[in-house]
Amino acid sequence: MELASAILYIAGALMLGLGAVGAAIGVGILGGKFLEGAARQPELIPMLRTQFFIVMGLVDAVPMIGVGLGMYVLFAVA
Amino acid sequence: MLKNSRSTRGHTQVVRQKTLLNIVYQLIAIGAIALLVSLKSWEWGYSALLGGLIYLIPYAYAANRILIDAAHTTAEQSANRTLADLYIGQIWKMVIGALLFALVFVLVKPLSPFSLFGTYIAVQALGWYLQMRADKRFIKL
Repeated sequence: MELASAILYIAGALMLGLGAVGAAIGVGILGGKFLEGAARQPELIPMLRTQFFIVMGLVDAVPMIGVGLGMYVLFAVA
Repeated sequence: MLKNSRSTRGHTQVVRQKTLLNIVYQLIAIGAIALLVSLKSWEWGYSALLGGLIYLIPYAYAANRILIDAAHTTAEQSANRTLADLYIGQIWKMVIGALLFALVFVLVKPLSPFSLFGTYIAVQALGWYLQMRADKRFIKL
């Protein structure tokens, strides 16, 4: 029983950790592209800002599902 | 330069209106899904409602913070400061989302995970669809 719950904790931690890695890579690339665009055309910063928000919604979607599943495993199953 | 600034401000206003409309559509979808699955059982119904709200509350917070600030952003504002603002908004969105998940899993029992995550993913997919429908140029990115 203890081994099973330990494996569940590891599974939850992996889900949270790998989700964080994916989100960090996506958000890092997005931020870099935002700075590139802003450096080329500073007058477009307000427009880039809204585009950043839209794309961020796509980038953080799957990691947040992973976070939710991880939380479920940690708080409700284990 | 001034013309560009006005056009980007107009763009921000349009995006704000579209985002608000998307949030209203998503809220309606959450209610409809919750009603529909509550026919199966009461537990499924409130789980679906919670799943939808866990997605929508952080999204609405981030949209409000980022897009309202965007209306006041000037071209002179540095890109670094703008990016820092965006990241702070995004971090709060994730923190609120994780906190809501934890609160629901600790406080609400019994809970139907299929209904909760199903609604969470469905509302998210609806958000993507509405976003692409609202801004056809976005598909070409």
